[in-house]
Amino acid sequence: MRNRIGYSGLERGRTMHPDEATLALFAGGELSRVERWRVGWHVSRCAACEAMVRDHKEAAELLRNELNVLPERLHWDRLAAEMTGNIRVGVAAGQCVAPVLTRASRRFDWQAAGVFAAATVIVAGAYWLNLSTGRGGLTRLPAKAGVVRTIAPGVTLEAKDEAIELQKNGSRFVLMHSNSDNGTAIYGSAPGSLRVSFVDKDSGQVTINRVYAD
Amino acid sequence: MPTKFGPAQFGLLAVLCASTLLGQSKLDPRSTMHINLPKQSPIEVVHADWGDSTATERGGALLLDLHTSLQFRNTSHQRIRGVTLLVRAQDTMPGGRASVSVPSLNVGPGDVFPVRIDLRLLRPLNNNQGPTVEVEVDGILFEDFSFFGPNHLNSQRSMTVWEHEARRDRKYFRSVLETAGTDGLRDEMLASLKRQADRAAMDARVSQSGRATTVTTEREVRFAFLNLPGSPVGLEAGSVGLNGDEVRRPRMSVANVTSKPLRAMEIGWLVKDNRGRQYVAGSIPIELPLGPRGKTTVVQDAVFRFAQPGGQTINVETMTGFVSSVEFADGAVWIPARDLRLPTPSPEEQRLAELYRKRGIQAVIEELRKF
Repeated sequence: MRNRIGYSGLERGRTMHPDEATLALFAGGELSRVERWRVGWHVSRCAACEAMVRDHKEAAELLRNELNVLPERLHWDRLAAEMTGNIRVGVAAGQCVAPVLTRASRRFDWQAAGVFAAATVIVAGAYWLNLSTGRGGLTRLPAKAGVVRTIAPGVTLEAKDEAIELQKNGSRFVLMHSNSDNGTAIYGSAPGSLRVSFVDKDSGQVTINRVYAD
Repeated sequence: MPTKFGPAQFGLLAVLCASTLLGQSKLDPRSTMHINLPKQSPIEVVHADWGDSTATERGGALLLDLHTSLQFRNTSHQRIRGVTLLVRAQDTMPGGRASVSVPSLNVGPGDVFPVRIDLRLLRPLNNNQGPTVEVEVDGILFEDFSFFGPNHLNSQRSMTVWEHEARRDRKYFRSVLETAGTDGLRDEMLASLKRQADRAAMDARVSQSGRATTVTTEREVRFAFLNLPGSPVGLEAGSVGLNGDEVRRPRMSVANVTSKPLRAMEIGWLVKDNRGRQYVAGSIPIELPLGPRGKTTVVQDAVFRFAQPGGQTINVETMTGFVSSVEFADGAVWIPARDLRLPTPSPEEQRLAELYRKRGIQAVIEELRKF
């Protein structure tokens, strides 16, 4: 463990110099406090290593400046949209894998377990009842893009993220396009029907789903 | 006195959590989804992958999640350019129909191609007679524009229009490649991706309402037409009653400027709200037999409503109509020229732009060479 810093005494005489990777890490401020102190002590007394550190710092600065210039033809709005999407996915994924138990919650007692159990029963019951009466329980799809079009009493046609849904007297018929690539779906409508055109992620084929209400 | 959370407590919680999953079972899709192909069908099913299809009991209802990727083989002697499958769930949803269309295909004789169908159905638990979902061919379009299928959904017209659009767009992109090279084609692909992103922001829905709300402040307005060069149909005068998001009784004078009889046309709408924001508000197909050089006035005794994707109504201030396609009596189809920059890209342009985004400009060039 002591020797996490690489040293090379063969390349530059008998003095044990930090190797180039260690100097690069030092230049980028990536070493731990103790390692930084040890390497810094050496660099301050060794002109060759100091020059190498200076080169690494200049190269890093140059790279930073280059990255600040957008490449030609970069479509910033689209990139921003993709980044936003990726961040959302990342947040969602993070929520999935984040530790559920905090230090305080590791010590449940029976009372807490009872409250949790009662809450679970209530939520499950409400979910069950909602579904059986056909009032929205099925809709586990993201609903931010939804628009309900009442075709006739008791009949609605709705476009959602990754699905078109027809509801009729409590029954539901949902045609999904969750396999669309990069959210490229383009919706279209005509009286009595909704359609969506998208590119399938696996086949690369453009596919047009349409749901008819009548 | 507090008790530590032990195995017994974990067990209780596990039972409670598992209760929400009770009733879920792996679905035998063959008993649920039937694929009916006629004897003379130019395609056959090679393989059906049912993936993670499941059936879950939820109270008095049954939730069916059907995910399938069907592999079809072209058994005809011609290249297939498009396929439309009709999906019915008659037991679950009387009258409810859907279609899955795959245009822009290039499937040679003997070749295999996939069609993916993802469905979710909720139906009463006691209704368990026969197959839940029927899948059948509604239409297959070949390279020479010949057609096979019952055409219940008028898919022949849709697929013919898509194929004409695809040929128009590929021809355009090939000409760009010849005149402006790879960089020029790359610029076109980037411009297309931008237009598609912009198009999403202009999205609106049109729906037909059986009855209008009580008229209080309806005003009659004339609406504008984009008369596209080369269009076989002239739209001359039009008016409509506007009341908030309701558009009533659109009325327009239509003239066939050709010497061929017409069968039908599709009118696209652009609407502007009272804040000056413009939307692409769907299209309305009109079945309209019209003789050579004939004129008529079309009145649709209906109420249309326009809404944004979020559900907010659009207070329509002005409307502009344009002819997006025309079908002649002999089955020939007219579409607008490529340089008119209509707001909605064709399915083929969508496919090529996505191919560029994923695999780069060389992949697009190779794809253009295949046709």
